[in-house]
Amino acid sequence: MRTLVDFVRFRTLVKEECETDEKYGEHPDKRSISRLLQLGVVNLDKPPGPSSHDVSSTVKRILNAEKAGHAGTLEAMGRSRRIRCPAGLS
Amino acid sequence: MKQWGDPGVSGVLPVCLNDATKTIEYLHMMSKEYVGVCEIHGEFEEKALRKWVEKMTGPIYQRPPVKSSVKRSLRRRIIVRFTVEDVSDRRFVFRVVTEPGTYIRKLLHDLGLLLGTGAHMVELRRVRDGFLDEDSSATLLELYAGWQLYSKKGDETLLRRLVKPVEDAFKGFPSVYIKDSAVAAVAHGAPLASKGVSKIDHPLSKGDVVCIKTLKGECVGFGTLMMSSDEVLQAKSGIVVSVERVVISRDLYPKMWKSH
Repeated sequence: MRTLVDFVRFRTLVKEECETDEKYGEHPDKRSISRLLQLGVVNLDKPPGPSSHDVSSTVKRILNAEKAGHAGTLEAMGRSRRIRCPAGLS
Repeated sequence: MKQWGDPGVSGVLPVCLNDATKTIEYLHMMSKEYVGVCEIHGEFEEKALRKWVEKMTGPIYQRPPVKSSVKRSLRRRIIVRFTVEDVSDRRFVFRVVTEPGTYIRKLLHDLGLLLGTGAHMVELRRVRDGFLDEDSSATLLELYAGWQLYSKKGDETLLRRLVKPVEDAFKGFPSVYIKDSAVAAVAHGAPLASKGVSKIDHPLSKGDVVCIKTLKGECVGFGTLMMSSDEVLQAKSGIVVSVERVVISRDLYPKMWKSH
């Protein structure tokens, strides 16, 4: 699979100019807060200590989400200690 | 007890919510940027350090560390940029841009072997993951405050700043923009036909992974391009994208295909 796609600069070319009907769908920036929580991403500043997995499950609990998953594990390796997230949040 | 090899690792970690979790495997395709501190176990010359760091830029071979969650087979990874930012005593600050799946701790361990003294990573911070960087990142505490303001006071201003549309993470990702009339078909699992395409990023080749977007910029799904972007622009018929992942809800756009 091709990686580093974010390093390529693309030009968007038009095949067929089309209008989009405002009756359907939603502009991502204008998404309602409830839809945002359904289809959103948190750019989290992970604190040192807890594992990426711990942190994403804390996010899940804070936001009352059904599912939450993180991309690109950010991990200290070979840890055995488990540190809990900010007091009162867990 | 302070364990050896227990560095503070912090920084950008994209966390996808609910339906957005379907995009995670595609977030993995983008580069990561780190800043960290490394300690060298012995005397060294700054000139030699800079030389080896420069030599480790480009494609490298790496075997995942013993304590890792993946198969320990040799992997090839591209180090896009690797620089020494500051040297003080036996420690130095580095900045590195890598392909996903690179073990930074291992990279610095290997640098230590090349220097002949050994070295280990003391601290690491990810400052960018794909299109998300630390300037726009949120702490757990901010998120907690945002949620409390929203759920207790009905004020969504802070929460809106912290929870972003999943499309923000795919801003510059290679994309195909499709007509309103094609959205429901793709959302129901049909491949994308050339008649449904309005715009396409260029240059792209056959086999590239693309994000399918609506003309409003919503992420419909992901798939593999079946022809080059040049061919897509010319094509009168045929399948353009084989869809592997649908993200959008099925009911946002009307069904417009003919039933027989």
